[in-house]
Amino acid sequence: MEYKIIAPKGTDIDTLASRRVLPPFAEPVLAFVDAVSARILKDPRFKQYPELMAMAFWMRRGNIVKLKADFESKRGSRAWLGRGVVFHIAPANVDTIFVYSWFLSMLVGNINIVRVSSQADEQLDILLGVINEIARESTHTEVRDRFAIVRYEHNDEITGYFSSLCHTRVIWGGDETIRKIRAVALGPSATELVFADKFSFALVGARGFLDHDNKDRLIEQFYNDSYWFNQKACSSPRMVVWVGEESTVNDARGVFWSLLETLAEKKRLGFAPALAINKLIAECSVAIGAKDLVTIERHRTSLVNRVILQSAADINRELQCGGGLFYELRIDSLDRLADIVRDKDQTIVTCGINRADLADFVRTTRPAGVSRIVPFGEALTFSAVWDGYDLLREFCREVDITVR
Amino acid sequence: MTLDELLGVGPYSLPRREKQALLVEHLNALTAHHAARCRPYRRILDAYGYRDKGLSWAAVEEMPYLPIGLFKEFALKSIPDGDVIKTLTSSGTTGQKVSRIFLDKETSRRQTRALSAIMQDFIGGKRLPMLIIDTPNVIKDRTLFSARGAGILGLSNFGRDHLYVLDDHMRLKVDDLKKFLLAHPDEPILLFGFTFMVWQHFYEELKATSADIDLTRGVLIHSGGWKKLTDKSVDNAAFKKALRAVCGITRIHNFYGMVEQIGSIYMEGDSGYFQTPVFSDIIIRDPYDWSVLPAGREGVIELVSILPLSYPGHALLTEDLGRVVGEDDSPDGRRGKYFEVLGRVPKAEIRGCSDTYAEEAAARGV
Repeated sequence: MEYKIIAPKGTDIDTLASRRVLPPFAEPVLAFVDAVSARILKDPRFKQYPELMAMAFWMRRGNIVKLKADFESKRGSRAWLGRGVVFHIAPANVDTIFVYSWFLSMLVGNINIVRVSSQADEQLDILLGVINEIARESTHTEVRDRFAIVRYEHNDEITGYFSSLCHTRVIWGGDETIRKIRAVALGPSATELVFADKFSFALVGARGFLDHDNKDRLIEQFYNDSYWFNQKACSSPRMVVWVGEESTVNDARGVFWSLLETLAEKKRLGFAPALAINKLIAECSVAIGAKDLVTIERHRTSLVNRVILQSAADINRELQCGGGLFYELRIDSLDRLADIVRDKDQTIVTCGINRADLADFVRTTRPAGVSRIVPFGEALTFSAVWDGYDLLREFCREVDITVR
Repeated sequence: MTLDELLGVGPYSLPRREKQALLVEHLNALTAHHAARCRPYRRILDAYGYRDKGLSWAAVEEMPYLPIGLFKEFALKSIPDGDVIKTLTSSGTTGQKVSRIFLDKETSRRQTRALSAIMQDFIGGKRLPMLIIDTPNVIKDRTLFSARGAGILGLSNFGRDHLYVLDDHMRLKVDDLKKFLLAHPDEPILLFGFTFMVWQHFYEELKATSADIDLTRGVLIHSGGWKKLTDKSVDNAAFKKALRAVCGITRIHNFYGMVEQIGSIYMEGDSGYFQTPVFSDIIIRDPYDWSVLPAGREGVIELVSILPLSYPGHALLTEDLGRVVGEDDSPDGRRGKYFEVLGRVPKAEIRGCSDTYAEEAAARGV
């Protein structure tokens, strides 16, 4: 059985698993999280990775204290304890996810084993280097004794070993991974959190967008939402649903996409010829597969590709080449959104529609999917409530004390 | 000019203006032909709004083209299933999707004629004694042709008394080779093989065994790409030099082509570059905006061909990079554009919360 413990150096899994959990939001954990945050924000090597900077921002003490207050108000006088050993299986390509998953679990006191991708990745290596350095400091022994970051090529025997040790298993990274890992047995009383493939989209009120006085800012936010992870994060929007009359929507479309393309040309984030080709294949595939005729809007550059659909039935949620390929749909009013939403849907980034209408939509139509509705610019902002799970709560068990 | 007339005038005979006018006429007709017969193709044209504007273009560069990867996703054909006489598949590594190309009698005939016009221009009209640098196993299943098998069968037509020089274990049959050369003492010999096979199982074997094989009267035609040889730091010049050193062969022509447009092959002329024949052409596009790049600039290769009737493959965007070197002024007098191929478009780095299993497996080549 071959796995490599890449952080902290010299850890032994069996000893680790036999340790007791720390209390939720224990000071040594807060100090460790804060130290990692401070190092990332200061270290110039991280400047080129905006998503790592965003993560470091999220783990600032100020934000963690808010999480703590929220956790405590939900807990009240009940007794919540970490579940014990949590085994996290991180996705191959969003390096930050393993940190969010691990840190949230660690904050409530758990012992964590984190499997990271076996693919070589510079960003991940720099991050692990920093974590190792900080863990080595004598002030962080209590944290150091309670985590192991491991690396191995997918292997049922190793996954089985960690699964047998853990009280909760967390699987990030798509339907296929989940299916394969679920075939590996968990201990009888262990729980499991899974993050399946998702589809996310933007919802834009055409009138509201046209009347907005800072469209450049809105577009920049939408650009970050879509292009930061090359449109491949589960919360990256891959469709724009327009709400409004046809003529208003057409006006809004013209402004929206031309601003976006101009910005994309300026930033040129992640442009790759292979992606440009993949997008052509994808848009042609949609045209072939759709029940109703679709319109492919041709753009000046390969940075933006758009396919206008006539019917929600033609949304191909499986096709995800990334790199800026957007479906578009128009609906007359917000209540028609119910025809579009499926249980696979995760994040809606929105602008030009007010909160009351959105809340009303959720209450009255009770959609099967959608776990987040956030403003433009916040698609990729990680939240302690993800895919419908309140993660801090899921990482705890409750000791029910009824003695009066 | 009809295709048959065109084949009669010689594959490298027309200057740019005449050639482009002919291509425009034939390609416009082909687009209409496939739009009427291939529903998926028609759906694409409709999505781009081309049919509303009438399917007619004034220049080849303006015409719609299909990304070649689409042939891996869909069975694209413009003929009823009953008319399919051959299905060609691209060579792909295990687990990869392969292109499927459906041929009917007429398209197959056109491909054979086109290929023969090109070959005649390079080796003359007579069938030559032929050595195939491969094992006969590769063509055993004739119902489903691999690119390798199809290439061998296609080229076999230009030779006679064929000898497959490798046995089932890919070992060079040196004795058979010697006998073959003794039996054909005075004629030119045609050799054909895939670039890597020629290097690995012919050149390296000859070198290792120091067998006394004289192929000064040989003409070697080879294809299949340089990827594996680039890994060994062997380029076209080194390849030629090494082969000459080991068996004296001097006439060596690489060619570029793909199963999606079989028949339209691009032979390496005396310029050392690939030469476009009259019935096909190359356009280099900038992937940033798909605009046409001028000669000398590197971009993604689009290939057009007036041969395909049974599938909509008359204008294809490949996944290869290349550049046009010149047009109509090749030193060997052959007209048409000549170009070089600079490898595959590099794979995009994938980032995102997609399936770790699938991607890691793909990265490991499982």
